[in-house]
Amino acid sequence: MPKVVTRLLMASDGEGDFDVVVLGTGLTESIAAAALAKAGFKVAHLDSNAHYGAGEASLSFDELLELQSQPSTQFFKFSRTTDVIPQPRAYSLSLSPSLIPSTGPLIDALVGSGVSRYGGFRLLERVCVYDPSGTAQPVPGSKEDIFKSRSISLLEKRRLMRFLQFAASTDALEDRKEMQGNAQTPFPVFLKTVFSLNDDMVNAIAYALAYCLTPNEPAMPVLHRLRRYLRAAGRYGASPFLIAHYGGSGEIAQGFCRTAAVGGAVYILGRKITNISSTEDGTRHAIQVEDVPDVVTCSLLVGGQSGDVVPLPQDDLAPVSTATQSYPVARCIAIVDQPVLFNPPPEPEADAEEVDGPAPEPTPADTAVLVFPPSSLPNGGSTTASATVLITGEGTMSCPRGKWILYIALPTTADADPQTLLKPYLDATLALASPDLEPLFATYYLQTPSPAPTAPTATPASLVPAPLPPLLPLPDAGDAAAVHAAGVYWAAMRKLKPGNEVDELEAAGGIWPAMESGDADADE
Amino acid sequence: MADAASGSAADKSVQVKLVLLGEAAVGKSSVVLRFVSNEFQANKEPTIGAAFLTQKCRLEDRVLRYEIWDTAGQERFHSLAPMYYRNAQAAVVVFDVTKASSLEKAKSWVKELQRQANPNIVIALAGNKVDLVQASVSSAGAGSTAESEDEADDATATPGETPASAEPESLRQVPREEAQAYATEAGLLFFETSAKTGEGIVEIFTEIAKKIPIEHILAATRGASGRPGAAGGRTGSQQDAVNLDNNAKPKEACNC
Repeated sequence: MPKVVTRLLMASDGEGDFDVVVLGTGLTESIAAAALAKAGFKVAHLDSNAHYGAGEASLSFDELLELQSQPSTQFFKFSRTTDVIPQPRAYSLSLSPSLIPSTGPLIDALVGSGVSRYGGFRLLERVCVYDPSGTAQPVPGSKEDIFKSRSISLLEKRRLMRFLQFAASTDALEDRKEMQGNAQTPFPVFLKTVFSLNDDMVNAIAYALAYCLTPNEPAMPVLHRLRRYLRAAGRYGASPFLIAHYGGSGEIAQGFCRTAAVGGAVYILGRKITNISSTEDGTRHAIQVEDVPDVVTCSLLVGGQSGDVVPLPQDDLAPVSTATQSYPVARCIAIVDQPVLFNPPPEPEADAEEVDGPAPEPTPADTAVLVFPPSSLPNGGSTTASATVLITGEGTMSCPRGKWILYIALPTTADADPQTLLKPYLDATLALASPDLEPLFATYYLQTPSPAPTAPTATPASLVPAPLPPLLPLPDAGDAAAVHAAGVYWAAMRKLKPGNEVDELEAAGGIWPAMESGDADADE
Repeated sequence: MADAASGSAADKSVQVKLVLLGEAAVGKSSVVLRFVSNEFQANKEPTIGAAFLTQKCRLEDRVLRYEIWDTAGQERFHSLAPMYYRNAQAAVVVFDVTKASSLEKAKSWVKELQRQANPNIVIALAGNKVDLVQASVSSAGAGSTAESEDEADDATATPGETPASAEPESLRQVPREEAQAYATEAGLLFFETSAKTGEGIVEIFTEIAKKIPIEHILAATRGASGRPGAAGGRTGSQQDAVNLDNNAKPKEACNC
């Protein structure tokens, strides 16, 4: 293999010279690389991992074990129940399990770049809140759900409707009288005091509709977030959220990388960077890569440890970065061979005749979210944070038929033991299916932010995207990466094309050039 | 909902994902461009740098719609994403008959496919640039030039391009029998091809079409089972899959 590399790189002069070298194939970097390549820059995209997606990768079972064999500062404290499962390669296990709002920056980037054509997506079918009695209560997310619900009293229905109308309205939140003096009120307190909602409703709204991580999040940014989610409903179906096939973010990152490659970007994965040096004026960088004898050079380096930090987007997309601290997260990935949550049977048509035969059965939910509000788990659960369980089945193409993957996440502290923290949540989730259900596999670990970039050392030609927090509300990770990538793209453009032109371009709109028409639909 | 809008009801063609593999500059892109433009010139110029190219292939009463994926250069540093192999029902592994090392490379790609791809994948081996070794083609050099232009992606260009004065058959480094023997042993279809003259190109895609387990794909599509690695792929999971491009207009806030 090294021989081939030698020949390729030495085949012609200038082969190793690039406009931009991007380090790391996380979602932010991959979107930025695709946009830069499409804008006509010569891009090399490097990752020392053999897999795409970096800390947001989707891995086969064996790749996950490989990752766990080398704890890093980002992923550590691994434990697992077994090293062997049937069909290990049929799994795409996500390091960054997330939902995608049907409208928003990530969907816009997927459609605008054409990457949507590479990927498959599925609607989220079911959202439930765990009740301390040991049951999963469906979350009413729409007017229809609320009308149909038999467990909500008429008075509570009215209050809930009033709140949802307020949350989804087009008025500026800042102007609403409900918000006067309440912008910083913790969201659950706000729901209780301003809308008089009961505890069950507050839990459902705060943790299962707005995906709050803790009860302390201030009302204003949460309401902005919830408004985005509510508006995303109805675009592709009843749920506001999609789940991407094959493990989500990692697969989407691959799609953006392929788009970059189609745009001429060169990809070098699985090789360590042995040295980065810069010319004295900092206008040119030379990167030495293991097994690649030719030096890769560029005028702009994106990624790495030092340079001008591109900050996280300072809007309501990154509530964790703006409003609260960035938490370490305890994670569990479990595989089960029984469905845990079910969809209700379809409603009979209003004018349908009586049908003979057995009543329709609930069907297993292929995609579902189960939320544990703080203090909802009687024995040993967190009283200060909400845990989420994302469930994906074979319809997401991430596991074999008859299997479901459970991803549990809980904000915590870096000294926590992930297994002690999360096993009670896994047990409670499995007990919903049957009292003695054992997972085929379970692994627990901690995740902290990827190493923070060091302070800018004033190299004029290198950009470092600030790392995203390891845990964002379940629907926000992808959108945050897309917004961040746009920021990286514009910062890169300013370095590559000094002058006012870039300001005009940015003011004019998005980072994707108009699509070539019909390249995937060539016939008829 | 998404599915109903995709127009699949009117279009009964079976979609087949086909991936191309092979060493840089053996003519992968040219083989596809020949196949796609030969059939389709009247209709539409293929887009270079496209996500993938599509071409229909008629087979008795059926129509296959090939969705052809080029490596986009990601094979150069062994950095092809798993997404590339995912749900491919067919592969064309290309080598250059004038370059023995390219057959070795092709063999390693076949191994990679057998490791990574759908177990039912139909693999065809294409010994390309056969025009260079045929006595009837007098100016062999011209042939290779035309092909390497299409390889702009793999900017490395074919080293040691044919000296025009050489005896055609002496350029051959891979005897037909040798490649055929390997293909038979490995269970591959085999054709010698010339993207320049068109020789063998349509044949290779037609023979692949005959070997594709169409019933299997159709069943997977109907069942919407979409098991990873099963035939079907994008098509196989369409029943519940959401096509993001279908609905460009978000409804107004619809919750209340």
